[in-house]
Amino acid sequence: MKVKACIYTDAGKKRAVNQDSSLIKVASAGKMGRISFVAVCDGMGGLSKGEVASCKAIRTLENWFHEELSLMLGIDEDKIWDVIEISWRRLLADINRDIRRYGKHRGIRLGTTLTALLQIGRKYMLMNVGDSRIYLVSRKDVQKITHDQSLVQSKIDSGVMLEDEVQNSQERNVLLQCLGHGSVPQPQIIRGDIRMSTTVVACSDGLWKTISEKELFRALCPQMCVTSEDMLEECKKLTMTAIDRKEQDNITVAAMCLEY
Amino acid sequence: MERFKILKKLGQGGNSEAFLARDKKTGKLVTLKFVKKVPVSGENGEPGPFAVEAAILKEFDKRNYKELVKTGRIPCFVALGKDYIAVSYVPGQNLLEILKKKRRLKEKQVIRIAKDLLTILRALHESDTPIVYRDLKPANIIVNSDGKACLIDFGAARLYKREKETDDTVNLGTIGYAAPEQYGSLGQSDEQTDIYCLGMTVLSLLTGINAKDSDALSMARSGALKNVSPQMLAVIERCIKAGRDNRFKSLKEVEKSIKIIPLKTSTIRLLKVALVVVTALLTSAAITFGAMHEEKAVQVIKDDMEVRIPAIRYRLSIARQRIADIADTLIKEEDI
Repeated sequence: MKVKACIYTDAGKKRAVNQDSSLIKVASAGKMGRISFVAVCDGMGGLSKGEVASCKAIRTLENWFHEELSLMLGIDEDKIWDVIEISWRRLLADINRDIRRYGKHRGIRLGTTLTALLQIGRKYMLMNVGDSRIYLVSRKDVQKITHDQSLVQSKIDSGVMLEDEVQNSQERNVLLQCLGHGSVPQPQIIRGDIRMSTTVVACSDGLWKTISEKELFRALCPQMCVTSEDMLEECKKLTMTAIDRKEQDNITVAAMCLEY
Repeated sequence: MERFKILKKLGQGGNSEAFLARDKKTGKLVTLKFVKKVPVSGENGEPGPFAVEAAILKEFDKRNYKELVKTGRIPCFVALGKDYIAVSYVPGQNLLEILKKKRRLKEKQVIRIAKDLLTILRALHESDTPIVYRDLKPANIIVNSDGKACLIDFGAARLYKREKETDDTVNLGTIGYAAPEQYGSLGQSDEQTDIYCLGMTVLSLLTGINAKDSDALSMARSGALKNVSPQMLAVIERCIKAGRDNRFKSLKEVEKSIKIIPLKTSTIRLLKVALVVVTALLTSAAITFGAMHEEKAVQVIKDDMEVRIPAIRYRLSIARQRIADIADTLIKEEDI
């Protein structure tokens, strides 16, 4: 299996600081082949020092990938995902505690969203807190695999609001869960299979609020990902399109093309 | 089939095998292509596996391609059977074999080949119903005895229908050389598709890389390989953009850009020569000036050696003495 990857991020036209953080890690793991890990954290704009919160989360994930995951790779394939899930839940509690402690010492409130996906072989597991998203883009279609933990999404789920009304809603930036603000959040953790060549696209809300799934597909479907440079160019184009559509927020897109 | 006498095997692709044969009717050499894997159709009135290729080759007679067919730059249709097609044989050396022997070609030679290919591709495209070739790669290019590049195997070619918005049949073309839209879901292949294939072909001819290898491709595109000029690399880079909106708009534009590359490289070469000439002139002027004023210069150097340098030394020694005196005074004052 081959992995091509890129990250593109932009503070946007209005914001002086980019509060988004992201990472992509690819490693060879012996008999398990290539493993890859992507994560995007969106430091919360309404709260101060959002960049500290998102950076703290990403650094913790990076350390986890290097130090803990490498030790887990010897575990049997049928048990490894359970172990990783337990490890992730503990990791989220740690990040939440660290960010809260940082805020408490300085008398400020800060927080971050977190969305991450780990692929081993043809299986993946993702965790999601907040409203950053992960899409799986195959050669034929695009599928959103995260579920936003936001007020508008819960209203859509309960039938109070229509998807078309989200765009004009005052509550579209209100999150139900985030890291660093309140008690340990309940993450969305799901597992799945990757059947064919797929591009995993993780992005902050700055991108998905203005870019449609169709546009995402046309830019980042595996057939468009000839080289990592091509992917970067397409990510940059998507970001610029979002900015042209008056998106004010920070924009981050991390893409990994998994070629089977 | 009795019409043809098979002489030797020429090669094989994913779906077909090609043989060199002699047409007993005309005595001319032909290329016979047999279907290999795809089940033979055409029995219940369905089109056979080579029906589209035959229709496209027949199209050449209707259009103004006579010159290209006459000079053997593209094959012409001979006969069609249920599981075979016969087309005129294009003699010459296969570019893939040349590439295997030489590992990579010189830019000058590649530019010549690209220009030849552009002439053929433009002829195919610049029509009311353009023909998209879709499988441009070194293996499908023959260099004839005149050194001209010729196209063979129109198996993946299609007539482009402007009103059609649906996708192509998936997986026609060759992995590595095929444009993203040829893998489906990104719309019908068009002129930009051939521009992409041309860019990949030119890049692999210049660098000898395997087009399927994305790491090697990234390295070649970064300009790390020295035998590709920056001007040529810029043209290739614009041909092989993943998004077709970012590629050249037409083959005419590509031709225009490729034509000025030798001019650009020769301009750079001229500038380099000019720089060497100017440096040589300045150096020789300096030497001539020195030679003309040799006596004066010798006199000045003599004076310097005899008078000025001892005078400077004398002044420096006085200055050193004074500094030493001042330092002594300061030390004494501190002691007191």
